[in-house]
Amino acid sequence: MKELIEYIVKALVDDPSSIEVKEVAGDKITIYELRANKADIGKVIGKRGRTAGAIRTIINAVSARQGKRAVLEIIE
Amino acid sequence: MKTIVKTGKSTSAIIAEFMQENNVNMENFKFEVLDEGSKGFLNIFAGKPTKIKFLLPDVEEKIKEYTETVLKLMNINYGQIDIQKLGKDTYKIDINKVEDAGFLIGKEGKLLNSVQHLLNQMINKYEKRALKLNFDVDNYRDRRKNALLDKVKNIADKVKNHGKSITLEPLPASHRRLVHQFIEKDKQVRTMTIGDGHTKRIVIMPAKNNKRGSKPKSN
Repeated sequence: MKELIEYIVKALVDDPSSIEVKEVAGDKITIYELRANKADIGKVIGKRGRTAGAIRTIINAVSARQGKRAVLEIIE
Repeated sequence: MKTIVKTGKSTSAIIAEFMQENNVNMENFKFEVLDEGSKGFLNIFAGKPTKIKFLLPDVEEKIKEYTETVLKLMNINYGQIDIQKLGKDTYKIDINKVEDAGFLIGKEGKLLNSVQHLLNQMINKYEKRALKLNFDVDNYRDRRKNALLDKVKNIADKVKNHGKSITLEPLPASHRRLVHQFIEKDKQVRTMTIGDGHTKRIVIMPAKNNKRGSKPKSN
């Protein structure tokens, strides 16, 4: 899952080296903290949050299939 | 493969410049040193520049690479990826024989649309121009389109027979467009839209009824 988020996000931004995804596993919910360069945040979120929404849809679907729940947090 | 030849002072300088210009990582391209060049001798003879040929994957190969990797990381098993060029900047990606197609499509194509959006953003970033990718699973979109138009055709027939208008359920903009275009071909019926946003619906009505309805606008 972490690789999936990293792969997608790195292809979207100007500075792929600054992308960091941290996995915080909880009891029921796994939180993925995505850190990006300030200038790249807009690209990760997209127009009206469309790109962020699409990433969330994908990680929700993939986790749900494994019987887990996932949350994506985008941090500057 | 797309080839680019660049010249400069040293091998590493050219590669660094190339990577920045094209926004690529080391693993994304291959290169070949055509001419190592020379520094010149005691500044008496002018140095010869280094010449390097770069090989970048072309659009279709890149689309395939992105699609393959994303599907693999999503743990999706499938037959093969079929990429077709539809127009100048339009490509269709169809994934054949997906093991769990329902999963990849999602509720009302939600997951399919999300993957499509991300692949579009990724390739646009790579190409630095707007391409349009249609991402599909076993021709799901075409099948849905035909099913929708079949249903609309039945409803239009009903409207013609009974002379009463019928309101469809709320549809997304792209589907409403298809319905409008489809009904436009039939002279006996007309369409109208009511509602807003997510509750926007199409009303199919007999053509003669609509003459009254559309006139007041000109006053």
